[in-house]
Amino acid sequence: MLKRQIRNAKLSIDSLEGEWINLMSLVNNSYQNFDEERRLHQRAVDISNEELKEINHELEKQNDFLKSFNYGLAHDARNHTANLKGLIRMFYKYKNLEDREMIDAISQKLELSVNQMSSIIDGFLFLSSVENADEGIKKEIDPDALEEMIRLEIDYLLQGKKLDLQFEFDFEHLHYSPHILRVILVNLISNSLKFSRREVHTVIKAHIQLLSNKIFIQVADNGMGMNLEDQDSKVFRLFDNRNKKSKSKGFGIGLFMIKRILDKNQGEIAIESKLKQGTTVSIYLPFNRIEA
Amino acid sequence: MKRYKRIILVDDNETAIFLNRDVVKEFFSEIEVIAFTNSQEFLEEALKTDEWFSESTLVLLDINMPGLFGFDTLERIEEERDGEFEKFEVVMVTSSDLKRDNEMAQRFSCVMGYIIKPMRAENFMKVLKNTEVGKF
Repeated sequence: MLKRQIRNAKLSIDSLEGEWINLMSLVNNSYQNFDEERRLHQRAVDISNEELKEINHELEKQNDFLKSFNYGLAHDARNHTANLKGLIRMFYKYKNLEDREMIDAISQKLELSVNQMSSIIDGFLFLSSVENADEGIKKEIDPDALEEMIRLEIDYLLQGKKLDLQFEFDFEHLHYSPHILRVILVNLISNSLKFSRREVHTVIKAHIQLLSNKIFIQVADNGMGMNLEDQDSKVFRLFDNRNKKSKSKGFGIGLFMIKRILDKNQGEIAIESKLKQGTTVSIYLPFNRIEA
Repeated sequence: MKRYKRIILVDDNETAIFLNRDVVKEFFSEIEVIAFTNSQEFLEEALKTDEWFSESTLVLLDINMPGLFGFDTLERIEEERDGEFEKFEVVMVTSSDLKRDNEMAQRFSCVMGYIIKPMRAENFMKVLKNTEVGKF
């Protein structure tokens, strides 16, 4: 009787032990699962932190860019408004003096200032439309029409300045955004104009060529040039994306618009320049010939 | 009225030069007026033209210019022509009404005035009077 009871008790203990072992392995398993889950979770957190950091960095960069761009535009708008005010005052002065010649000159300047003002408004529009599909609209581009459009825009900047502006568009048909080509060419050409030298006859060459998977755009001038070896060269700071504070000041809004286009379209830029010899800016934009 | 041998206008905007020249000519109709639309060119000229510093010269200088800012230009001139500013006077003519820019201008010994665009005969006159006293 006692023996049987002991045997039963032993059996119970054995089975209890078995259950205990089962339970322990179960607990152990769920610990392992839990640990695995925790690790996965931590990894997800790490990744999203990393992503957030990256997004944040990108946003900061965009914000800096927009601030600078906005500052540049506002400054330019202010300048042209001051010019308009001054010109109107001057107009009344010479109207009273009945000086026909001066009134003509003032009228020309008024027209110029109004045009400049309207290109600033274009700049603000560019700023607001840069995130939508506006600039992405592709059209069939005719090289002659493109040249004419650009000549017209440059024309009001010339103010009677003598200039040899040469176009070499090596394509017959191109399906691409005319907006992008126009912004790049007009701004590069007007920069070349701005830094032309008095002592030489200004020659500016604008060139577009289709490479296998890229559009190559180049504007070369014989103007003042700059010293690119200067580590502080502002142009490099502007186009260097690794640089956190790409300085805005001292640039027209034009280079900013170009930078924005390059950033958005994974374009590349190369600048060659020599003091008192000239500057050549080359831009490469990805382009799929087959798709086009 | 103070007599100047020459007046130099530096502004990247041609219309601003046109306007400022007209105001200047109202006061100094006979004087030589030299204009630069490029600050770099002005700087190079300033570094090699001794007369600008030995004869009474007034410069109307813009601040916000592409490539080389007005203040950067002045810094370079002050570096190279140490202590030669008896006769070389500068008036900043700018569309910036930022306090920072005005304070910056006052740090340069050769800067005698600060005019916010558009420059009018009245405020140019005011600054000319002040340059006789030598401050703003």
